[in-house]
Amino acid sequence: MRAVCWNGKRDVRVESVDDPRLLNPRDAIIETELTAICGSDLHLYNGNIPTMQAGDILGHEFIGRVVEVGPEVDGLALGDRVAVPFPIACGRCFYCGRGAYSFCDNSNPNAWMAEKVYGYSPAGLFGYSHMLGGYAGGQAEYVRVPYADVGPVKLPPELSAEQLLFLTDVFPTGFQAAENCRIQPGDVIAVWGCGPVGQFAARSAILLGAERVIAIDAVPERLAMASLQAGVEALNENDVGDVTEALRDLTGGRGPDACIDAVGMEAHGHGLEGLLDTAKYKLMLQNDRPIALRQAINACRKGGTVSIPGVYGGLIDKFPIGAAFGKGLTLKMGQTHVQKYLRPLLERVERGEIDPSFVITHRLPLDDAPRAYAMFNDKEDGCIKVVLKP
Amino acid sequence: MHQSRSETVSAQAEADATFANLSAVERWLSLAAGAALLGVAIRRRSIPFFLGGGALVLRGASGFCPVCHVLRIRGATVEIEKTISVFRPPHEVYAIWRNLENLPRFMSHLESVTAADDKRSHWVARIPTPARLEWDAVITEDRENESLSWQSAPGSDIEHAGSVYFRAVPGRSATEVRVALSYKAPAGIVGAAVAKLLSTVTDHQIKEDLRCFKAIVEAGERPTTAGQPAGVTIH
Ligand SMILES: NC(=O)c1ccc[n+]([C@@H]2O[C@H](COP(=O)([O-])OP(=O)(O)OC[C@H]3O[C@@H](n4cnc5c(N)ncnc54)[C@H](O)[C@@H]3O)[C@@H](O)[C@H]2O)c1
Ligand SMILES: [Zn+2]
Ligand SMILES: [Zn+2]
Repeated sequence: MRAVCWNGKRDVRVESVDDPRLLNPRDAIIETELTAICGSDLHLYNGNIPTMQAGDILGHEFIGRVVEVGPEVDGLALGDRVAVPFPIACGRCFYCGRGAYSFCDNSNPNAWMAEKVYGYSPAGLFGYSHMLGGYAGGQAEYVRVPYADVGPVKLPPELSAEQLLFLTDVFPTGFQAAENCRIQPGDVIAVWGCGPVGQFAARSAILLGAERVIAIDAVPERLAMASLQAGVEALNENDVGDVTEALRDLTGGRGPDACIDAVGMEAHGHGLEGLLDTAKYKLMLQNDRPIALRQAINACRKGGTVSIPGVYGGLIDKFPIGAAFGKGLTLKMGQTHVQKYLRPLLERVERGEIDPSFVITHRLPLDDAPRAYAMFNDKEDGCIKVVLKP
Repeated sequence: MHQSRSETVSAQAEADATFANLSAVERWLSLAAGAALLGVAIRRRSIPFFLGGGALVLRGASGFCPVCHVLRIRGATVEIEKTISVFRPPHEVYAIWRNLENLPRFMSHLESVTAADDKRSHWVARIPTPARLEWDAVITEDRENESLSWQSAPGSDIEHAGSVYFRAVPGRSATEVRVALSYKAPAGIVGAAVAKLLSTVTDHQIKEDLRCFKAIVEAGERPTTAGQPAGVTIH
C-alpha cells in the first residue's frame, strides 16, 4: 500500500509499504476513505517530538471502511464505515472506565519509554512516536486499528467524509478544551491560535454557552475564518502591542474568564521574549516555546481556567507559576479523550449544529503529502487544513 | 492484500529500535537537564553544578552512561520485588496466578510451567538453546485471594522462590499485586544455563512482564506493533 512516512526533520515521503495485518484478536483493518494532517503532525515534522524513527507511518485523523476484523471484535462488520479516535484505548482499564481514554493503561507497548520522561505513560496514539506506542498511522491506504470494539464509531451514509473526518481529533479536541473551561453564562473565552483546533475550540465555546469568544493569532486568513463564526471576535496580535493589555481592554479590565492555548509548543514570539525562547530552544535549554501559554496565564482573570489543548512535550523555562498561584487558576490539559466525545459530537453534526468541514482549505491526493506538509507548516496559499485522499 | 513479513525479523528490529529509543529519550532529557544545570553553574559560578551539567550534556551527546555500565554487572543471586495494580477484584487475579501454568503467558523468562498436581509443578526456563534449565517446584503457602508462595525442590539446578500478594484497593474493584521473585545459583556456582537465566531476570523485565500481565487480564491481549508495516529506511 501507499503510506506517508516520516524520514527526518521536514522530510516526509510517500512510500510503498506492506499492507497491515491483524496482530491481536481485538484488531481491525480499515481501508482509509479520507485522512488529514494535524497541527500535532507538524511537531513531528519539525523534529520536536523524540523517539521518531525513519520509516514511521504518520497520521492520526482518518475515517474509512472495515475490511478485516479480529475474532474478539464485537459490533463491527466488514464494510462498516467508521471514524477512528486518535488515542488508542483498551476500554477496560481504570482510566477507560472513567472516560479518560487518552490515559489508557494498556495501549502503549512502549510505556516504559514514556515513564522515563513523564513518570507514567499516557495511551498509545496512531502515528505519534515510539514513546507513545510506535503505532503505524492513518495517512495510508490501510490502517490496523487495535481495540476495534471500543474505538471506531459507525458513521451515517448521508454525511460526507469531509463533514465526518474531524470527529477523530480536532473537533473533539476543541470541544474538550472548551468544556474544560466550565463555561458559565456571560463568560468571555480567549483562544490563542486560530488553527483547526482553535477554530473548533472557539466554535465549541459558543455551543457551550459562552457570551463572547476572542480568537488570537497573527495569520490574517485564520483570523478571518474565526471571525466568520457567530460570536467570535478576532484579535490580530500584530495590531496590538501587548495581547494581555488588549484583552484587559476588551473585557472591561477583568480579563477573560477562561483562556485556551490552542497553539502548543511551537508558538511564534515577538520581541525579546520570542528571541530568547527561540535561542534557548535551539541550545536545547528548553524543548518547548511557551509564548502563548505564558500570555494565557497572565491574561486570565482571578480564579479563571487555563485550558491547554496545544501539545507540549518536554521542559519549559519561565513558567509563570507565581501568576497562576496568585490568581488561583485552574489548569486543564492533555490529549483528548476522543472516544468520550465522538458519539455526542456526531449527533451535533447530524442535527446540523455544526458542519466541521468549514476548516478545510486544501484537498490533495495522498501522494502529494510532502507538498501538503510543507504548505500547511509554512502557511502557504492560505492553508489552514489539508485533507488527503488515498 | 496481506503480504506477511517474517515475524522474527520484525521482532528483532523492534528490539533494536527499542534500544535506540531508550537512548533517544535519555539523551533528549539529559541534554535538556544538563544544559539547565550548566545555566545554573554559569549564573552561580558553581563548580559542582558545572561538572554535573557537563556530565549530563556529555551523556546526552554521546549516549554513554558510566553509572548504568557498573549496574549491569550481576552476581549469583537475583531478587526482585515489584508491584502493579490490576483493575479486577482480588479473587479473579488470584485465580490466574493460582494456576501457575499461566505464568509463561507473561513471564518472559519462562518457557513453560506444567502442573503435576494441586501443589507440585515442573518449570522450564526460556533461555537460548542448547542451554537448558528446568526444575520442580512446590506451593508452600496458599491463602485464597490473599497470597501464594512457591519454591523449587531441594537439589534443583537453580534455587527459585516466588511469592505473590493480592490486596483489594479500597473503594475500587481493583487489586494491588506484589510479586517477589528470587533466583540463586546453588552454592553460588554459576553455570552457563543459570548465568543465562540470571541475566534475563532483570528489574526492568519483571516490571514489563507485570505490565503484560495487567494488559492480558484487563484488555484480554498485550499491546504490540511487531509485524506492522513501516517505510524502507536507507541508513
Ligand atoms: N490535545 C490534543 O489532543 C490535541 C489534538 C490535536 C491537536 N493538538 C495540538 O493543538 C495545537 C494546535 O493544532 P492545530 O491543528 O490547530 O495547529 P496549527 O499549527 O494549524 O495552529 C496553530 C496556530 O497557532 C498560531 N500561533 C502561533 N503562535 C502563536 C502565538 N504566540 N499567539 C497566538 N497564536 C499563535 C499559528 O499562527 C497557528 O494558526 C497543536 O499544538 C497541536 O499539537 C492537540
Ligand atoms: Zn491531531
Ligand atoms: Zn484502557
